[in-house]
Amino acid sequence: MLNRRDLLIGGACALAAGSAHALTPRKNVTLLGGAKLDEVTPRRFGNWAEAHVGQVIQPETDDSLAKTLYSQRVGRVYQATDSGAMVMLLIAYGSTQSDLLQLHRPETCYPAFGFNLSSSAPTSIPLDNGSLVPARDLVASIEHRVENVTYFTRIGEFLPRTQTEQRIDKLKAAFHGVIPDGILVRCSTLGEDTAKCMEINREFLAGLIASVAPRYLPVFIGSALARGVAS
Amino acid sequence: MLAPASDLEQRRPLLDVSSQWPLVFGILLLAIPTIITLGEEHWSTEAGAHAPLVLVTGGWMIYRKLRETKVAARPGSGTKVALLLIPSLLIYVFGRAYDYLILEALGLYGAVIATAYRLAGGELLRELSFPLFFLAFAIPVPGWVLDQATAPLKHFASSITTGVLQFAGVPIVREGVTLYVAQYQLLVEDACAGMNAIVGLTSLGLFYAYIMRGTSWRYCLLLMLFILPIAVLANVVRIIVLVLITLYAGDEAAQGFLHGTAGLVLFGSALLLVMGLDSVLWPFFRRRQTAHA
Repeated sequence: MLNRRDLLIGGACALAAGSAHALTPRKNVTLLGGAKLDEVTPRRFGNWAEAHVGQVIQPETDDSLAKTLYSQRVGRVYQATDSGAMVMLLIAYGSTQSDLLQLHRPETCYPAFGFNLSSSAPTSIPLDNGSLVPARDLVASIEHRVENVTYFTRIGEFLPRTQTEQRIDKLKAAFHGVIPDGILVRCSTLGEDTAKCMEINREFLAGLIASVAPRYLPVFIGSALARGVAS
Repeated sequence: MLAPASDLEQRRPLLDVSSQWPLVFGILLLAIPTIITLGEEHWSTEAGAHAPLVLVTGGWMIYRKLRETKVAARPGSGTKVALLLIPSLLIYVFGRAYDYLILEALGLYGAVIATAYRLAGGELLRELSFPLFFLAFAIPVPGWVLDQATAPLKHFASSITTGVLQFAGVPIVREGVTLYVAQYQLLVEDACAGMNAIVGLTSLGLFYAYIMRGTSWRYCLLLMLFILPIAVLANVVRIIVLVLITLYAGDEAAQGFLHGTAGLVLFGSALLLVMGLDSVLWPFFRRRQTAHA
């Protein structure tokens, strides 16, 4: 004979399994679509042009890990045609952001590779139309090498500035039934003069964003900011 | 002759499937999707390779305990079941729907315990507390938590390794990210990924203590205190083997080792270290136990 309690417990479990299934987001929204990140990222803009100096040093990329996390990556060195300043650019794109496959933020990757983080501060990249892209400045050093890093990330339509924001934004997308894509755009300049290097980084990233073809701009800064730039 | 009532009660099966199938059905509905996800996302990584073994050995420990225990099953109170089951199910739904594997597994764990409490009651569950605690090691710890917790250990392990090898005259230099061995470069992160196996190493140590020394909580905790240094040492052994293979057999052989037998060396050396430690600690522990008694 069935016991009422057992039926209740079993029913509650079944209900939980059913609601979990119903709530699970299934719509994968990828702003990049089928495009190639390498072709979408301009090789030459403003005063900047790609310089061929061999592989970019990518401290966070243990190959096997990076390969599983990101579906596409672009690593380049750019040089300013006027001042000769060098900027390293790394863009990593993941078509699905899940618990397992999510962007690794540089403030966790650099220390994992033996770098010392002497500062980490929120910043913004000003666009031509006056809107701001929330970003972060890091100063990472190893032995005598000081790397001034400026980066921003996009998860779905959000631009999280911290790890916590990134998790919350991923959850917000999930509440809308969406599995978002994500991108990490990171540039760094070597040098002791942090203020000057960060200025170069900001100018570089602003120029990069300004020169991306309008239809791919959402890939970098999300649809809302991209609309603002277009209008 | 009639057997005493208590004997009869003991022989009553824990679960009567013909009438209690809703319990089994409910738990399976929760567990099967979770186990599939765990298999896909967790068990194939170094941080989760131990989990299926934990489930199997944990199940075996429970089975063995149920056979030898004299404590009878007395179905637990409905209120207490509900108090554990409802939050567990909510956590499960949230974790499963929004992709937090740790919450999903935690919720399932709670639901299983609640159901077990419904079947067995508090007294028998207390008898099973060690195996049930052991099963919790199958719950996946998120990668970012592990990364943050083990980053300093990785560096510690790699600097010990370079120190030891330099002392032994091996041409090795560590430059932040990279180990230079003669003409080869090794990424420290690759070589030290073994720190991710820390949960697996802990469960291995616990299992060893349980098998060899029974369920003395205190002794298990004592052994667990040494798990961190053991994990670091086991990693040092692994990196040294990796470096020596690189040096004498070339980079290709080392990569083969890294993807093949490196885990075996890691767990093998950890097990040897646990055994050595146990043989030193156990006599002291037992002497103190008998002195107290």
